[in-house]
Amino acid sequence: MGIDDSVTAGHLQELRRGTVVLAALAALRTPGYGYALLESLTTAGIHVDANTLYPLLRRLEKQGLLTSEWNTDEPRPRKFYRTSPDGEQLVATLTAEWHRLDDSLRNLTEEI
Amino acid sequence: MTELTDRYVYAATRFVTDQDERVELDRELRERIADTVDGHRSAGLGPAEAEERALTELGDPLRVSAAYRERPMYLIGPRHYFAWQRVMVIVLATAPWIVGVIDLIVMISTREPVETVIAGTISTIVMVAVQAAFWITLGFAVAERVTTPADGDVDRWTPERLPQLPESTGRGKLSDLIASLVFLVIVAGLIVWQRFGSLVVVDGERMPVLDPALWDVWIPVMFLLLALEAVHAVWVYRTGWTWPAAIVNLPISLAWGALLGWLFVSGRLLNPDFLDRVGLSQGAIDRSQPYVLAVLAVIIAWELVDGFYKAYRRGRQ
Repeated sequence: MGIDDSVTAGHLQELRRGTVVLAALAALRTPGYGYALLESLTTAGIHVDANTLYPLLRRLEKQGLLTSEWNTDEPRPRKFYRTSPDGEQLVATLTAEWHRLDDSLRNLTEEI
Repeated sequence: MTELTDRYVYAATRFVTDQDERVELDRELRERIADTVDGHRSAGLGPAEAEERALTELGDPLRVSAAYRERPMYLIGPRHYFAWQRVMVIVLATAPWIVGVIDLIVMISTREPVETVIAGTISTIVMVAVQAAFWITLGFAVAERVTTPADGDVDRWTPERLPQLPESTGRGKLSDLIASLVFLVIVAGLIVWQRFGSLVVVDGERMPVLDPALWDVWIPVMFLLLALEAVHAVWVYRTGWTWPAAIVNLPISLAWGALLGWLFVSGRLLNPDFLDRVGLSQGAIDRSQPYVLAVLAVIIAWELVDGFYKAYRRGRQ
């Protein structure tokens, strides 16, 4: 009997959840707005739902990891987010952790 | 921007009371909707279809609003759930029944017709239960919204909270037996003492608290009941709280309630000379009747429920 598709999907989602924060903070070192970030992440192979990403940007801003500014130069105002110094620091911490986890998991999975 | 988008944004922002927050949310949603519509249009959809699809993807505006503003989408969350549950169980297991019994006694003592008494008691119990459940839940729902996780767990768990293991089947606890017997001996002693050692002395003679006429029949009956209670306590010690033990507890407890209640109501329990002496009028005694009976009923009811609850718990093991 194979694994239920929805079970697999659920675990994949769990595994990817934390990586969205790292991807967004890393990408926004170049300022960007919600939809552009969504597209660039998708192009980069990071699949994230819009209903997850937009609230996440707000949360990261509230935590001081992103700063935001409304760009009203164009006819359509857009909120541009940019990674703050605190955000940069978190990118470094999360990246280091990501590599550490990768090594650990490689050791574990290669033993099997 | 079309009317549909305006309606969506209105639906998502109308309950946001803070002006700045509402304007910000409004602008962010419009940006997102416009960008998403553009995305769908460049993929070849018509304007109306693209907008429809974009709004469908966003989903319920209230949900979107709550997600953006990090508002809880539940009444009582995991932080408070078990505290809420604990309080509910304790309050619902006690308050409605206590108030119901008091209400019952008051109505009986005011000589209401039996249908009124039954209907009134049931409606009191239901009302108290509904009120208690509502206010407790409201309180926890408010606490959920005014406290933040950083405030820490209000209901912090420690290992001391672990319940005792269920008593092993068979014998009851020796400490319970000793406590029961000591209590019964004290009660018997008090009955004798109030007769011969009362602190109220008139003309060099000690004045009993209980009506001396009771010694003919009813005080011997009380001693008999005390003896039965003692036998019952030994029985419970030897076999634990079995269903038969709980059932036998019923007539003994009810006999106490009926005897004391009836003697008190008919004015035969207390010594009239003693009441006179300590300055209690018959009127005061009559007025205190419902309260005295209510307290008596609560004690008797507690005894009964306790017995059956222990038998039930034992039966589950």
